[in-house]
Amino acid sequence: MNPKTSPATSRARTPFEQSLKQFLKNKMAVAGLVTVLLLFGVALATIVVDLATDNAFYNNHIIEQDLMHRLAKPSMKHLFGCDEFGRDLFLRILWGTKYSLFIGIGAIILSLLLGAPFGMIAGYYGGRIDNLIMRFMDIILAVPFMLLAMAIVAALGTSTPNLLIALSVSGIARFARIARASVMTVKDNEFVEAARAIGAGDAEILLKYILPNALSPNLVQVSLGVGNSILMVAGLSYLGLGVQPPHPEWGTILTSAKIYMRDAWHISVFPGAFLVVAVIAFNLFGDGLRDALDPKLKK
Amino acid sequence: MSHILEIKGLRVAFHTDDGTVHALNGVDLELGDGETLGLVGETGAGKTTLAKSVMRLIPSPQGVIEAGKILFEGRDILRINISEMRGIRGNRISMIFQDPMSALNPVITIGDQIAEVIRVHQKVSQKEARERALVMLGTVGISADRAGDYPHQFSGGMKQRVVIAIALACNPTLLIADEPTTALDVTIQAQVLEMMANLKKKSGTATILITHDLGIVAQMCESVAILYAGEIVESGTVHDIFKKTLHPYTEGLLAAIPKINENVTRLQPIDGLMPDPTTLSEGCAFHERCTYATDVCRTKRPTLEMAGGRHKVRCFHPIAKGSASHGK
Repeated sequence: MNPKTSPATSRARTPFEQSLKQFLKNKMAVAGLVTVLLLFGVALATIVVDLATDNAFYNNHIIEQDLMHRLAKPSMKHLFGCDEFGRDLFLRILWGTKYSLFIGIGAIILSLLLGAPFGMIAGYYGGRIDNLIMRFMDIILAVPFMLLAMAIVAALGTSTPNLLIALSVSGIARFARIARASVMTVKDNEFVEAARAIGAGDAEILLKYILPNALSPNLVQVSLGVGNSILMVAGLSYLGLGVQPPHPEWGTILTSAKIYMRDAWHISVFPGAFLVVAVIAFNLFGDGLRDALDPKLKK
Repeated sequence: MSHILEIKGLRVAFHTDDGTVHALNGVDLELGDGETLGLVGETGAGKTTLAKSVMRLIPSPQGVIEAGKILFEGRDILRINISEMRGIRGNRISMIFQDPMSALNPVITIGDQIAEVIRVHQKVSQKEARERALVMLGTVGISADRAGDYPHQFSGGMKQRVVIAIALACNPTLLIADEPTTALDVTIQAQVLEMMANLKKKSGTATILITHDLGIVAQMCESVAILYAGEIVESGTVHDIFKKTLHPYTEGLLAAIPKINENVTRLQPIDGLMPDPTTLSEGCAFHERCTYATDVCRTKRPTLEMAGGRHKVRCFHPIAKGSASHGK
C-alpha cells in the first residue's frame, strides 16, 4: 500500500476488479466470452431485422420454400447450401441462434430463480425444513434430466413457453443444492451473527447479508449450465418436443437433416457445428468465471 | 444504584454429539446503571456464552438455556417473544464482537452498515439514517468521506471502530463488548479502549467488558466478575478483587501477571486445566487445581457467599483478608 493513506489515492482493489483481472488472464475464457458475445450479436441482429421488416424477410427467406434449390450443396450463393425445401441453411442457422440462446439462458435463469430460494431457505433454517425441501429435490434429481423435461413437455403440450418451463423445472434441484451449500458456509460467519445482534430479521439477513456473499457459486453454475441447457433445447426440439418446424431451431433442423445424411451432409454438419461451438464457448466462459470467482484458486 | 441487568441462576448447556457441554452452571450477576463490569475468565469459561445469552443469540437447537432469569430493566428477556427481542438487539442492548475482520459484511459499504442498524430500529428515512451514520463515523474518529468504502479497505483498528459505531448508533443502555481488543495490536488496543472510555463517559452506557486481560479491567472497569468453568467464583469492585482477593483462582490469575518491578525469569501459571465441561464433577469446580483444597472441596459444591459490601466469593477457604500480597 501507498505510505500516504489519503483514501482517494491508495484504495485497495475491489474484489470485483481482482476477479476481472483474474478472468482476463485466462485466454480460453476470454475466447469463450467473445464467442458468446458474437452469438448474442447474431441473435439480436436477426431479431432487429425481423422487427424492421415486419417478419417479411423471415417469411421470404427462412420459411418460404424454394424447391428448385432442394438439397443444394454449399456454394458462394448459399454459403452452407440449402435444406430439403431449398431454404438457405446459413440464414436458417443464423435465425436459429436466438432460440438456442434465449431459451437456453432463460431456462437456466428460471431454474436459478425457482431453485435458489428453496436452497437458501433450506440451508438457513436447517432441520426439518431443510430435510423436507432437500428430499423433494432429491426426488427431482432421481429422475433423469431429459426424461423429466420430456414428461413435462408431453404433459403440457409442445410450445416454446412449455419448453422453458420443462427445462427450468428439471434444473431446480441443482440450484437448490448449490444455494443450500453456499448459504450454509456463509451463515456461520461472524457478520451474520453481528447482523442478528443489531436486530435484523431473517428476511433481511438472508437478502442483505447472506445472498450477496453466497451468489458466486450460483452464477458459475448458471454460466456452466447454459451450455448444457442449449443442448437440451436442441435435444428436445430434435425429438419434436421443442421448437416446431418450420421455425429454424438447430435441433429442429437436425431432425429433418437425418434422413438426407447420405446425400446432403451439410444439413447436419453446419447446425451441429454451431451447437458444438456455442456449448464449448459457454463452458469455457463458465470455467473462467469459476476460476476467477473462486478465492482458493487466486494467485 | 438501580440494576439495569440482573442475571439469576443462569444455566446454559450445549447438546453435542460428544455429550452435553455445561457451559454455564448457575451464574448470578448484577450490573448497575452506567456501570462497567469486567468479565474475566480463561478460554472456555463461558464468557461468550454469557454474552450471547443476554443477546439471546445462543445457537439453537444445540444450545439450550436450561434455567435462570435475565432481567433487563426489570423484564425477563428470556420470556419475551423473538420479534420483541429483535427490537431490543442493537437498540437497547448492543454487542461488539471479538474479531472486527469478520464482523462486517464484506459486500456492503460501512456507511450503509451503520445506517442499517438505525433504519432497523428507528422510523427514519433512508437519507436521515445515512446522515446519522456519518455522524457516528465522526464520533469514532473516521472521516465521513470514507463512508462509501468497503470493509476490506480498512485496517483492523478502523474496522473495530466501525463495529463500535454500529453498536452505539442507537444509544443502547447496555453494551456488551466481547474481547473488543483481542484481535488488535497493543497500540491500536490502547486507542480503541481510550475511545470506548470517552464514548462511555459521554453516553453513560452500562458495559460488560469481556476480556482475559486484567490490565484492561483495572483500567476500564468499576466492578469485576471472575468466571471459572461456567460459574462466577468471585465478584466485586475492582478494589475488592485486586486488593482484597479472596478466591484462590483469582489469586492465581493475579500471580500469573508478570510484574514490571521485579526480575522474573519464569511466569507463574496456574497448574492444570479447566475441568471438562461435559462432565460435571462433584465438589468445587476449581478443587483439582487449588492449593488450598481440602476434603470438603472435593465433595461439596461451594455457594456464592457475601464477603462484605458487593464482594462475593464461592469458596470454602477464602484467602484471609490482607494476606493476599499482590499489587495491582
